[in-house]
Parts: sequence; structure tokens; C-alpha cells
Amino acid sequence: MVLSLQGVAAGYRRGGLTARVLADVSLEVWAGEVVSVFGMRGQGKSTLLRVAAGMQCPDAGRVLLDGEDPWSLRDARRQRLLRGRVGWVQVAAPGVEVAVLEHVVVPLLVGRGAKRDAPARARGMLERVGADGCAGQRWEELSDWDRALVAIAAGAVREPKLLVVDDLTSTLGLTETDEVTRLLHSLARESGAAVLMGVSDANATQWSDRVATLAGGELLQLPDPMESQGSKVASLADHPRRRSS
Amino acid sequence: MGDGVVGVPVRFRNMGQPSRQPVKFSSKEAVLGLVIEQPDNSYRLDRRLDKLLRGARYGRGTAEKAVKTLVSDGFVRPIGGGGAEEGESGAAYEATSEGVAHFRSWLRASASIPPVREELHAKIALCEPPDLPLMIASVRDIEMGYVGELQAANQRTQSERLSVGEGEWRRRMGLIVTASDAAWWEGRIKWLQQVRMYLEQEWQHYQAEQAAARSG
Repeated sequence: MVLSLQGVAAGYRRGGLTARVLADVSLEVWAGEVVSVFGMRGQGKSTLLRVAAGMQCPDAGRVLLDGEDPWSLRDARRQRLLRGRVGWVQVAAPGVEVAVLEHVVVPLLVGRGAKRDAPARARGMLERVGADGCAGQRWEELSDWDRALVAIAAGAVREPKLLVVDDLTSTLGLTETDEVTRLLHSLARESGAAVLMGVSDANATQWSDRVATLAGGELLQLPDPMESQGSKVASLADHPRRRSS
Repeated sequence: MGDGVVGVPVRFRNMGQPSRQPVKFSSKEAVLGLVIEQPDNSYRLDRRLDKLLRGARYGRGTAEKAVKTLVSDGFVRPIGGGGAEEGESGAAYEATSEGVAHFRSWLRASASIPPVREELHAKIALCEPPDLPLMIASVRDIEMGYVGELQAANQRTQSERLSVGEGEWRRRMGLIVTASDAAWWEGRIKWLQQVRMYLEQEWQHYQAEQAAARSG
């Protein structure tokens, strides 16, 4: 299991007030699996994703990333753990004006490890997601579709065990949403990465193995994916958990 | 333009608009369509119907009942030589020319708007404040069921899309139907999420009122 949220409670601060948006949320995500958290805006999807990605400490409960609790570690070790295991995917302009290739290279330059091959790896990842044509362009020049692809490339370039995807498809049309989510599905299957996505429309869940809904602080999901109605319909042999067992 | 709605040619008058005289849809027309596509026995028609319109959840034996009605309407007739597989029985059926004409007429007519007739609506409308926790739990259960339906629709779509060929018209139409099922479940899930929140607010309000009444 790549991600385990156990009885998590969390909220966000707005105007000096804390809004509690997650109450006793538990969720498990396995290697090679795509899980969508579906809910309307303002229901805490982003908070859940931030907690899952180790970007926000939960008020209560526990987060395990690949078996380790990042919040039990000292700051530097936690950062190292998160860099190595979690990729964050969000359509957001880079803080500085850089070409797309540099934007995708940046995650490879942080932390230890050889950096000489970083441009080649970034280029390879852009090619994998189908955005190699944008390598020399700047963020402002990109279409929404290209931005989504570049965001995936930047999140996946370090080959994380967990890819956390925040509302990637909200600016995309029907076909583009389908293609982007299909890409995430194939990346998960190829690399064995677990993918956790926050989505606000069902079309974006089409390539997910499991769907959970979030409203009123409560995460609803089927108790066991292998026993669920959906799994009976799907090819069990193709399910990542079955394949890994 | 004749007597058509302003700006709309007569032949398109009902396209995209709810019918004022809705044509009733039952399994009959769906089974008739399947027989026109390929003559078959009731057992196989049942299986084909389930595969084509899974979200409609037609029960086993639906095709057999529909075929009986279609025979009495003169829309299909037995041609003998039913299925050979185990569990299959009875003759195969083919469509008559009247059946084909009826099907074409049904296909051309506008689809009716289904009535919103859900048990949950009636329960919410008739519940009392002390019932709210039960209602909230009930909404949660239904929401979970819909999540399962959405997940199942997604998985059907995934496996179909990975295998469907360009020339497989019926399967491609089936994919559109499955995507419609998913959109239907999405709408229901969002609605139930709202209902759950409204009911929880009402419950909190009721508890506060009760507490105030006790202390006052």
C-alpha cells in the first residue's frame, strides 16, 4: 500500500477562522491504482489531497506514505521522504518565468542525486505525456490542455510512488478530460505509481479504479474494491492489487 | 416554415424538445430493436438486453415477457430453431414488417421526460425532525450505492474502450449509453451530497431548538 490515511481530521484557515472540512477520513491507495475523490467545490478535496501529499499536517489521525509517517520525522527527513515519494500535479504557473522544459527540470534539481541527466529525463517525460512540442514555450503561451500535460510531466518526472492530482481537469473539455485521465491511468499501470485525484465531475473519474465521494467532511467509498460491484464487472486479472498479489 | 415553431422547420419540430404526448418506453421496444438487428430466442435476447442497457437493470425473463407482448401485437413471430446452448429454450423470433414500422416510428418520436418518482423524495417530504438521523443514514447508504454504480459504469467503459473496434457500431453506441449512465449517477451523487448537508443542518437546528426549550 502506497498511501494510508487513518482517521484524518483537517481543515483550512480563512480570515482567521478554521473551517473543519475532513472528519475521521480513512483511505488506502495501492500501487498502480487510480483513485478519484469526487465532490463539489468547497467540500475539502484539496485539503484531503494536501494532507495525502504530506503538504499539510492533519489535526488528528495519521498519514502513512509507503509505510512511513512523514509527520513523525524531522523537517529535513520529511522533505526528503516527500520529494522521493510524492509527485504533486496541479495546473499552476511557475513562480518565475521559465520555459516549459526548465519547469519540468526543476523538481529534479532539488535534493541529492545526479543532476546531469535532468534535462534528458525532463524531455523524456514531456515526450511521454505528449507535450514535447511545448518544451521551448513559456507557461503563458500554453493552452489549458498543454498546461495539464506539463503539470503531469512536472509531477511525474521524479517517478514518485504516489501522484497526487488536484483538480487538473476543471478547465478542460470533455474529450481533453478523458485523454488526460486516460494518460494518468496508463502512467499508473506502467510505472506502478498510485494516483490520487480530486475531481468535480464524473467524466474525470472514467479511468479510475475506485471512486470515493467527499461531502460534509465525510469520505464515502465502497468498503473493499475487490468485493464491490464494480470489481465484479471489471477484469479482476487487470486490477493492480490482484496482479501484485 | 409552415406551421412549425418560429425558426424551426416542421420536420425538426420535436427534435431536442420534450414530447407533449410522451411515447411510453418499456423493454418492448428495446427487445424489438434487438430482434430486428438479429433474430434470437428469449434467453439470448435477455442477455443482449442486459449488455446493451445495463443501467436499466432489466430482470431475467424481461425479454420473454416482452416477446409475448410483441407476438400478440403482431410485431414479431417465431421462426423455430431456438438456441442450442444449455439453459436456452424456445424458438427464435424475427420481426414482422409491422414490427419494423412500429420500431421506426418509436425511434423517430421524441423521448419523454421521466417523472421524478423516487422513494427517497417521499420519505424526506414526510419525515419528522426526530427521523432526521435515520434519513441522513439512508441518504448516505443510497449515495454509497450510487458510488458503486458510477464505479461499475467506469469499469465497463474502460474495458469496452480498450477493446472496441471502429466498425463495431452497437458497441460504440453502448459506450455512449454507459457514459450517460455515469453522468446520471454523478447527478444523483451531487444531489444526495446536498441533501445530506441540508438534513444535517436541519438536525443541528432542531437539536439547538430542543436544547433551548429544555433550558428555557
